[in-house]
Amino acid sequence: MSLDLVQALAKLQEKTAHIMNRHSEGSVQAIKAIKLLSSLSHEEIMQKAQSGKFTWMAAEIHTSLAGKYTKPAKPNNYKVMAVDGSQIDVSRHAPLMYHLINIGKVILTYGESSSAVLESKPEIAVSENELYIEDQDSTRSVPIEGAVLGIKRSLRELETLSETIATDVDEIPTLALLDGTLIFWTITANSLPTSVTDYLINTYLIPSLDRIKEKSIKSPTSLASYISSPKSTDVVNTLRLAICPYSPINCDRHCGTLNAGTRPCDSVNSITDQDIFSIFLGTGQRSEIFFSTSQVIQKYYLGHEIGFFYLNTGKEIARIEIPIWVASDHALVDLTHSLILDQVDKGLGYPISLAEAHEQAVVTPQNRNAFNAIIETMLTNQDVSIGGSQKSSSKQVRWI
Amino acid sequence: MINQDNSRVFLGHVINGSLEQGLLVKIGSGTNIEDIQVGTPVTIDGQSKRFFGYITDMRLEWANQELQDITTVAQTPEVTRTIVETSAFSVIKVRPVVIIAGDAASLLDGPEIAKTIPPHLSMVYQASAEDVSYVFGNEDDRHIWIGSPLALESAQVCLNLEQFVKRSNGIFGKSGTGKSFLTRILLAGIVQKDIAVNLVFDMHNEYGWQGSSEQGHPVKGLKQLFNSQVAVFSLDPEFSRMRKKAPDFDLTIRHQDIEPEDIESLAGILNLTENARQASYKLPRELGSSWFHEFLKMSGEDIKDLSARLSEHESTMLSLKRRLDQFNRLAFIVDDAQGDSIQHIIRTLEQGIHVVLEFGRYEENLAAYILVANLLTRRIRRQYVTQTEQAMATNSETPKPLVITIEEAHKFLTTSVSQYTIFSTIAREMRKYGVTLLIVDQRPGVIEEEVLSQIGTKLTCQLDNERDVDALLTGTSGGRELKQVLSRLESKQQALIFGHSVPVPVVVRTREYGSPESYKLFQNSIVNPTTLDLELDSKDLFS
Amino acid sequence: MNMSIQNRLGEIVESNSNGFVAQCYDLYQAPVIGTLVRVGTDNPTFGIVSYVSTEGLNSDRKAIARGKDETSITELYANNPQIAQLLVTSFEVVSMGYLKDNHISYGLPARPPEIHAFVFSCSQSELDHFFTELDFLSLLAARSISAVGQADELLISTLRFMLDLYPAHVTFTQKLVKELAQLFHSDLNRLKLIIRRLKL
Ligand SMILES: Nc1ncnc2c1ncn2[C@@H]1O[C@H](COP(=O)(O)OP(=O)(O)O)[C@@H](O)[C@H]1O
Ligand SMILES: [Mg+2]
Repeated sequence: MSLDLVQALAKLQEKTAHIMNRHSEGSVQAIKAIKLLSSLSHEEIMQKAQSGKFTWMAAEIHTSLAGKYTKPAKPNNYKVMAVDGSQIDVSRHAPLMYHLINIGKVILTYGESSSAVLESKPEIAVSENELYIEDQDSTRSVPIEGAVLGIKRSLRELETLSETIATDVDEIPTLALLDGTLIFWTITANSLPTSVTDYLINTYLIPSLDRIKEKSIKSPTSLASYISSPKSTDVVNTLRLAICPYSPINCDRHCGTLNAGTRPCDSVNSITDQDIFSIFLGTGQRSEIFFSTSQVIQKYYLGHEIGFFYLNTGKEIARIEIPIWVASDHALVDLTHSLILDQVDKGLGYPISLAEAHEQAVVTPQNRNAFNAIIETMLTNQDVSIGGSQKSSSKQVRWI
Repeated sequence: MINQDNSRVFLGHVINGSLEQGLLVKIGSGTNIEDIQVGTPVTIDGQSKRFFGYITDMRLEWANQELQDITTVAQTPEVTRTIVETSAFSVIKVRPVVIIAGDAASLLDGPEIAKTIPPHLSMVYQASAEDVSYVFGNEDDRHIWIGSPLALESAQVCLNLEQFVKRSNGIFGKSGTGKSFLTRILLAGIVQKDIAVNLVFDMHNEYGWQGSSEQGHPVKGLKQLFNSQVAVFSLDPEFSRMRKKAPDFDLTIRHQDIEPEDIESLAGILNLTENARQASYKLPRELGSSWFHEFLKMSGEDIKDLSARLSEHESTMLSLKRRLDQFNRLAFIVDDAQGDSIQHIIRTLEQGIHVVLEFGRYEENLAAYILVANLLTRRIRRQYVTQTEQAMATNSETPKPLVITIEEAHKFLTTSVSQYTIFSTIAREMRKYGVTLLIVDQRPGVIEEEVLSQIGTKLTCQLDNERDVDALLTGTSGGRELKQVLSRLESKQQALIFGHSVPVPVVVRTREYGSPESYKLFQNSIVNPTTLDLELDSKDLFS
Repeated sequence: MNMSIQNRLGEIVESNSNGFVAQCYDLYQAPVIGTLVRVGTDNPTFGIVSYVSTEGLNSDRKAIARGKDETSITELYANNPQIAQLLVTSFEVVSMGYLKDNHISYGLPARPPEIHAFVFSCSQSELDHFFTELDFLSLLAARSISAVGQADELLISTLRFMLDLYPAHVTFTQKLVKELAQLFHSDLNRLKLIIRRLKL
């Protein structure tokens, strides 16, 4: 017996009881929070925030706190582009040092000339300069694997999306969608050498955002990322600021010695933004647009600051992230709002374009094994040079 | 329609059968069953032997009976037919009779009775002209061409006359089917090839001088064809003169020529009682050699007297006289003739001259016919018996075989009467003395069984009467099949020949008789080239 | 060249001795069951379409009902353009013969056709050539039941295809019927069913 079922079930019961408990507590907190939300003015809070010293990553509020917007009409003819990716990480057991990023791309055109493009494109890195990022300031170089590979993949997704948009000649309303966050906080969270961070930001992130923004100037183009069941607490954190009894706020000083749960602002400690907006938003409604105060944005995203809103899709509360040049354009916000709802509708709970992009991108364990087997064969067969057949074999990762 | 293979007509493959029952032959798909006739001679190519036989029956078969109700499914008759044809097929039944080729020996010996059968899928062909001539021989100094087989006009079926005359034979068929024509052909053949000497009781005056066909065309008789080789005797010279064809001789019967046995042979015709027959035997003793004449002259008183003397009932004698009285009116029965014309006939025959005895207007008088035929035949028989026995004793040459042709044989060879006539004796016993009968008759079923069983070769035209058919075929191997064949003969000029002198039963369309060409064939003496060569050779050798 | 692209019905994605599966280039553009098709050009294999299917490109993804709020299937497809890309129509073909030295040999090819080999529709002369003899019918009959469910659907479809090729050709029909009758002489119910179904 590898698993003692009786013991496991007993543990599970214990755990779920705790969760249930927190839930009921949570909804009470959430209702309180909503009341608070409606009663506060954003200027007040922003002032509190600006004057205070706190560790919470609170959302920046440009308009009201408690606005909600119903679903706007969607255009007749439009496009949705979505990109998703998956990866095979470098493995010490594999016969060859390599990593693979498979980018799935979907272009769905709706309306008069409806059509679909579904493709996937694998990228294999085998050579030294593909597997490492050189640190300009030292002799050390950073291997692209694990979290770094994750960063690279996300950036490649964004880059692919931006290139797709840039090369698209149509001028109909277009929504470019990514799965996950637009806030690449992981770039700064992995203590990468500065030159490497700069490289990633300047090679991938900013040019990609620029490219989309550029197109957005020419024709109605929105960029958004979709976060399903978000755990974020940006808005909750803002509420903490609001209910903080100290002025100016100084967490270290006033509450630094207190245990979590006993601080004055802990009356919202067990809820997330999602909890609040699941009660606050009706089906199809979105919240006000908030802005992230993440460090990485402040440091690198100049001109592309990331805002977000919550959206009741009918199935869940999703967090939709958009760059500031979308957030500041009503029409683009409406386009994003309406098209995401429609996509979720078509995707039965999750944007269809993203779902298909994921399908394109996914690398199953079988795929991975098959791919490894191919590599092995290629290596044992001296006649076949890896470089020469890279293209053809990569094409055939999924389909024979 | 019919597949030709080296000019042989392919019929089908052997699929089944037995020696006893015959072979079943599946008809090839290219052959139309309607083109095949029962009785047609066939050859079967076995593994190492070739068989010769004839078609005895045919039938339609289904490989799969259930297919019949496909008709309820298919929407067009063509489709139905196409489907049906895959299962439906025709079968002919073939009786292999002889083997005509196998090892070298059999080639030399000629046809040999088939004691085996060919294997499955042996190919069956319509017999070719060569096959037929191999089995039946070619026309030569012994063989006479008698006709052509069914569906093979070009082939000739021949009869070995030498074999033929060794036994009594019969030509049968209902009236108008071609018996007389066939008889003419056979008689002419016997004359032409000098096989035997003929005595023809020509009841209907059609063999000596000209007869006529049903269409009224005259048909030449033996006298016209062979003239000096044939002597025509007539019982009715006046009739002959009316016809402007004088007979060679008149035949008269003297009273003393008539014997009680002759009366007895008439017992059936005259409806004589047993007593009357017995009594007739007492008359010569009482009345002398002219008893017949004396007896017929008697008055009532005389009869009474005579009855008393012979201790017979007067009524018996009276009825005997009454019944014999009709002979009083016969002109050819004479009191005292110029000569013994019976002896004349016998001497003529001895010289090898064929005798045709015309009955003139007596053709309707059966009693006269029987009387004369019996009387004459009995005398001839005596003669032949003596001569043959002498010849055997002295080791000299036996007399030339004699063929006695009689018509309407059923009238005096019936079971009830035949025992009294000389003919049944001849049929039974005279073979060894070289005397045989050629019976020409339309009711073989009435003829005494024992007589019929003596008949060597039967040539039979169409017969309606079941009894006649059965009588002919009883005891014949393959009788059941032959019955099928026989019952389907055409109404004229077609005959089934089976028996002693043909190796295989065969249906022929009788050769044409009556045209100038047909006569010519009889007048040319046919010389077998082989025989001729041999004779020359031996002459060379011995000279 | 242009011609051969025009006649292309699909491309082989599965292949074995009995036949092969070909994928169509366009959704729902498969030849009908019973059609004679050709694979390859030099020593082509001929076969008969036995089964057509349209399903998710990925075997673990099933289609789901999507049209609740749509008024027509066209609208449904227009509003969900990705569907056409995610579905694939393919057809199975049972091998029936091959051409060698300009002579049709009926039966299974010695080697199954290659994966990715193109499948073409047959030209009239190829059809004429292949249907000159009907020796493949026994093979077809044997495969018919297993190929498409229960009855003789494949056989019947093929026969229909053939009869439609030569609509007024009485001798061809008779030849066909004869062959069938011989083939099913021991299974008359089957024969009757076929005859009835073909309205012969
Ligand atoms: N071999 C034959 N040649 C020519 N005609 C024939 C032949 N056999 C029969 N016939 C025709 O058939 C008719 C009847 O033939 P016939 O010999 O008189 O019959 P039967 O003697 O059986 O009553 C003849 O008149 C003749 O027209
Ligand atoms: Mg993702």
